[in-house]
Amino acid sequence: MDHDGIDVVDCDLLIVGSGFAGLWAAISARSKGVKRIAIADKGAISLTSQSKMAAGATIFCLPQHRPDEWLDDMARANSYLSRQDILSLILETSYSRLRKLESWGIEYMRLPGGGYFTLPSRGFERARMLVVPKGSGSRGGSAVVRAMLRQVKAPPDFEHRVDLYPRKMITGIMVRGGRAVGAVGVDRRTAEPIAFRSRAVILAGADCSFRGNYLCVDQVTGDAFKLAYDAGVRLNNMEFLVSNTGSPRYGFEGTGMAARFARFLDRDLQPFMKRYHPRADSAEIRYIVQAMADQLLQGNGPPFFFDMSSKPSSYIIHMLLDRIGNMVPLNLERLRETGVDVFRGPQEWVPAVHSLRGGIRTSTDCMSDLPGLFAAGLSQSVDPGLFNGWSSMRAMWSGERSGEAAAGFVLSCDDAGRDPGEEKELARRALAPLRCRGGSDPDGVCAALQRAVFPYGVSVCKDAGSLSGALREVERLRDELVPALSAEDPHQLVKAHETANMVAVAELYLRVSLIRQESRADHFRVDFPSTDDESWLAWINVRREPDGSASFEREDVPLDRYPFGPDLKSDRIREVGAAR
Amino acid sequence: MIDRIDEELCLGCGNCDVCCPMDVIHLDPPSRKAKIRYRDDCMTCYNCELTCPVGAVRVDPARRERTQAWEADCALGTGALIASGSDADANSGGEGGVS
Repeated sequence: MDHDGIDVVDCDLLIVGSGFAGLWAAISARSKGVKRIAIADKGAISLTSQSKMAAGATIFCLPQHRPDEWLDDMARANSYLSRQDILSLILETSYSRLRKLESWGIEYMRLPGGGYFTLPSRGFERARMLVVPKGSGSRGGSAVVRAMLRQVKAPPDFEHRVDLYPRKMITGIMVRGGRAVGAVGVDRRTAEPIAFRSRAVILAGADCSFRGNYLCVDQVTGDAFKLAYDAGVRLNNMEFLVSNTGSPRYGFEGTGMAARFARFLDRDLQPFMKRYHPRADSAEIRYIVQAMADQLLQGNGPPFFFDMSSKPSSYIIHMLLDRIGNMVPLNLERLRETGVDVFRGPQEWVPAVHSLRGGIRTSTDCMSDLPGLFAAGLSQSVDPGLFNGWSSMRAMWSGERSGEAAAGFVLSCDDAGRDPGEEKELARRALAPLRCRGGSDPDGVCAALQRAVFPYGVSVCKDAGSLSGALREVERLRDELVPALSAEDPHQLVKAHETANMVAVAELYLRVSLIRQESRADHFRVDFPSTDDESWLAWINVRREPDGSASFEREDVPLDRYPFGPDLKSDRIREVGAAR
Repeated sequence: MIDRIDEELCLGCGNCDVCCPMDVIHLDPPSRKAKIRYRDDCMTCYNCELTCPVGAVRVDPARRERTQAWEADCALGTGALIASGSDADANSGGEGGVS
């Protein structure tokens, strides 16, 4: 059905994003009886997702593990800003998801005796990851999304179908009668507008990388954050911009696999991490990055170096890298061809902006403040840190959970009716950059945004002066350049929207970073270096008001309902069940 | 960054076009050959090369130049950063970070 040149799709449930979360949401919602499901993605369905490019190592809590101990680790590592109610659910149900993945043909690496081969996750003391071996032409996350996509494409009957809409950049959520009733977007190749009319929407996208220096995150541009924010729902943890580390020239980093073995070195090839953290080179990445900033101040770098050449480091890491992430073995081969052997001596290494770990505040059913709008994957705010193997587990859980919850919502609500006028207006806005000839170039605005946000004083060791300066620049971009973003073709049109999304997310990052006057997890304020539990053991929620301004509220972490808090020792573990 | 697509070898299957997260490669309808349309947007993920059934695509491991934290106008705060102490400080909500 079409009107005013808009392609219209009628469905019961729209899922935006097709990584682990989006695919699992579709499988889950269909199994609960939803008949017409549409998955839209700005890239190919599943094949261009972050999940596809993930190493595939995933934290699973096996029957012999204790979820309460892992929850203790995770809450502590996130300075108690974790949603412990959600973490409990994730850990307690993770083994059932492992069994489901195995029933779909995924084989995790095993020891000769038959037990699972597990790896530690950098920054967690007890949590362990399972590793997907290579097999049947794909490895790591690629093997997992392909298996999930086979499930999506295998409907039990004609009535319960999942229709796939690749290359659809969603630019606006439709809200009517106080609930989400669909979305509007554009085709990435033709710029034709498309409207999805649905009874519920799941935002199952990634977070926001600002096209940072980390590998393979250039398409992670905060799209779901901006969609939700514009729809008036609360976001939180937006002050937590996480930097990882990596090679400045090549798309390579091995800090996850090398959690126990490799060393970080200064410009004189001297190790420095022992001075900063008891776990030295195996500390959480945030301490490595902050130590690099300190070394920079002392004149000991850049450059810095990462050394995986010591035994048994090189053997073990090499063996693991050969089994994970689809691109890693080919990348290593290409590097060797150009004379770079990452296992032979120190490699030049830099901090690399990775992603903003905030997101959409939800219930334990993954529903946002807006009825009918759900969040899954890294669009959802669960905890502010970055830990190997945890994002994958979070995405899988939230996909399954949001799919079930959205099914319940869809099956109990009325059809929201039609409003072609709203669709027409959202489509007009989606196409606006094509009409703006000679305006601002998306790449230029993106580069200006990076110059404002990436300096150490803004992204790693923040202080009020640096943050305020960056905010003034981002406000200038917002007011002067974003309204004039210009696109000559559909490719540029998508980049214009991505750039506008990143500018909006950066503004929230800077504003909330200024508000939190303490240091916690990856939010490190040089001018407020201590953690202040008395005042700041709280989330900062941000919401867009009807007049377009941002409003902020403080929400205390409900430690009376959570098992773990900063005043408790780990030998006083409460029952995890108390979290719910 | 993507280096080249060998048109002689290219079968026109479109796998590289579909799998590119950055929309760098487009299958050219008249010639049924894959073309590099937006090279500067390549993020060196190797998806195209990995999915090409005949080895027609080659990716170079060097990435495009990126904005680095210390190459930007690096406005570090004035407070001195001093090495932190205990594991408790680092992990239990004591001193945050390198304080």
